[in-house]
Amino acid sequence: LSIMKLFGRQSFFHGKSLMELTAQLKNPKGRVVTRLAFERYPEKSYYILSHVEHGYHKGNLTGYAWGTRVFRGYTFPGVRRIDSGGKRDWHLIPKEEEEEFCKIDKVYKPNFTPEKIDTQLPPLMEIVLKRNLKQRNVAFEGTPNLEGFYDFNSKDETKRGLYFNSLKDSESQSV
Amino acid sequence: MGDAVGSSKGVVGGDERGPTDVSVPSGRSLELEGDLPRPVVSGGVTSAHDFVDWSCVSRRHLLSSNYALQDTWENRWPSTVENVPFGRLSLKMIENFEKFGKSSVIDMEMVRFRHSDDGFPVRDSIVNAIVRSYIDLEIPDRLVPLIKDKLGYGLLLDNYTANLLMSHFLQQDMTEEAAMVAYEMMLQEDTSHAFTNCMSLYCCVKRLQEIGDIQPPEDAPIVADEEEEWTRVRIIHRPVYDDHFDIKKEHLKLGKSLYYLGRAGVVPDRDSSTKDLVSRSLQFVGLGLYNKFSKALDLLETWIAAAKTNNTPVLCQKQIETFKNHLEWSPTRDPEEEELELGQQTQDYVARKLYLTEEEKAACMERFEASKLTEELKSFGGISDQEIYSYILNNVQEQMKNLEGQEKSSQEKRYQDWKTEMLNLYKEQMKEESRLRKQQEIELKMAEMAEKEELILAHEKKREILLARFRVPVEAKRKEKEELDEDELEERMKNKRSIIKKKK
Repeated sequence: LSIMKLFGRQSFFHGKSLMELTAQLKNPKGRVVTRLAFERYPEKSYYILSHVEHGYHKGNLTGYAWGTRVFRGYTFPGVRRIDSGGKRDWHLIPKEEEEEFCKIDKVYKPNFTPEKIDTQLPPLMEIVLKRNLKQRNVAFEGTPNLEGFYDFNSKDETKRGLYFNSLKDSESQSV
Repeated sequence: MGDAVGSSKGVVGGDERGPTDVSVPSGRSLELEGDLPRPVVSGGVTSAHDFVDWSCVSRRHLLSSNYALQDTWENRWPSTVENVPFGRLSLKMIENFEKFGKSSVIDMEMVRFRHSDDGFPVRDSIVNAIVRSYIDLEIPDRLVPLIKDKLGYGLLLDNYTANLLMSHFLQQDMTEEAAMVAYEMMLQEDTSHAFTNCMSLYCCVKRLQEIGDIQPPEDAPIVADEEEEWTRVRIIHRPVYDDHFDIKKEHLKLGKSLYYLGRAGVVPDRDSSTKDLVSRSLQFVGLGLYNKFSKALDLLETWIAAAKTNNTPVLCQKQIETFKNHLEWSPTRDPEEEELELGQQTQDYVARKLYLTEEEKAACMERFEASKLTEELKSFGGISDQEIYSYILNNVQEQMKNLEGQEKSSQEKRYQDWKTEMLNLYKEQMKEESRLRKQQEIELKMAEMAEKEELILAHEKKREILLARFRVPVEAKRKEKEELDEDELEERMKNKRSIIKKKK
């Protein structure tokens, strides 16, 4: 017998894919599942599974899982589809430790105000626009902007994580 | 103790069989109500008026016997998979299996089924039928590796089939296989069904009696002196050992299931002290077998603190001994060992990282000795000398007798439901087939009619036909390039020049 040695890129992930995990469970409803990548946040993030659909495609297990999401302490309303189930990063939490694990201590609040939004146009576009406006003799005050093109409602919590600062600092949220 | 266990064996699983039994040994009694009538294999009509539709279906399958087996497992007929037989049809299926001779064919077919479109979700009726047929064919030991390989086969047992299997194994003295089924049920972490809890406890305790005091076999060493075979892989996935589904060693699984069942409190209470005693000792032994010593010792300390006030017994002597043995036998790892490259790691290697280091082991031993405090415990009766195992087994058997009636009635209902479901699906499928057939016939007829029409109207449309011939686009014929040799080329050039000269 010869030992198999593999060489290639190392994977970033430590865990199993969601399909592998849930295929071995008869009743995946209500089970808690996390990704190891969520450990970089101090708050708790996990998924509570509601149902799973499996399938086979060319010998590989495929499918999607649905569940409620808790990300950095905040529970998102409604059942969502888990799109990152194929990443081999998932861990199932045993039922004993579910209660302890699911206690939410802190909730992350994205401190994102309308003033922080960068409304600059891309620089070349700005120059071209200005030139065009001059040629057409259109009166324009100041520089062309993106203000008024979208509505930022800081109280709409379903839109968490959708607005990014173009200059991303370490504090800004990544989904 | 041996006698008590032996005499009750016949009663434990004997009444679990369903409506059709191929072999009914004399010692058992079928206590079912509403027994289905025996099937007539020749295909004649039975007297049961309730099953008029069913007999038509069965007749069809009886006639096309080989066809049925092929159908049940192939993609082209997805919903006849639902007609996996139970009841009287199971007999015919069994005969088919026997014709094939080897049952490895069945395993292959199951894998194909799983990879088909219909493979998910696996219905309980299918699993039930598979398990049933395996039992009737008297090859249930083949089932156990299939049940273990959940990704490949997906035989996730529901409660009734698990009970069936476990009782079958216990009757035949195959405690190892029975315990395997119990482990599988434990891995689902579902202790809502009381009957399965009792059955699995029974199997696990029996297995404990066999295995508890035997040193588990040592690991195979990771040898690095053999030939190395390098294969290129795009990404090296890390081998993962979650302490749950990936456990390979039996004593670990036994320990985990004992701990789990002990927490669930399967043994009911006449007096709460025995109940607590039993559950605590089960948990302690379970954790010892599972090699989670620190956790066990934490629990022990809390129990002792609680029991000191009440002067109740905490544990039994036997469990403490087994725990101690397993503490001594637990394998250790060297914390200063070099880590292997990712490409060389296997799941076993990762599993060994969970072993205790020698320091931790020594610390645990010390703690155990300190917390045992035999004298102190014995002073207030902390350790009792009860023989727990026989007590558990008897208690569990009583419970099972009480719960059997419920199980049977609920299972019968489920069988009825499955039957109606299957019938409906079958009818739907027949309708669709007939529809498709008619559609095809109609299309054929239309084609024929179109041809006839052409012939009939050809006389009138003579001119058009003639014109149509000339209107057909002519395919430009491409001249193939001839591959000429040099000599031929020269000749041709000469001929050309001669012609040109002539013209001039």
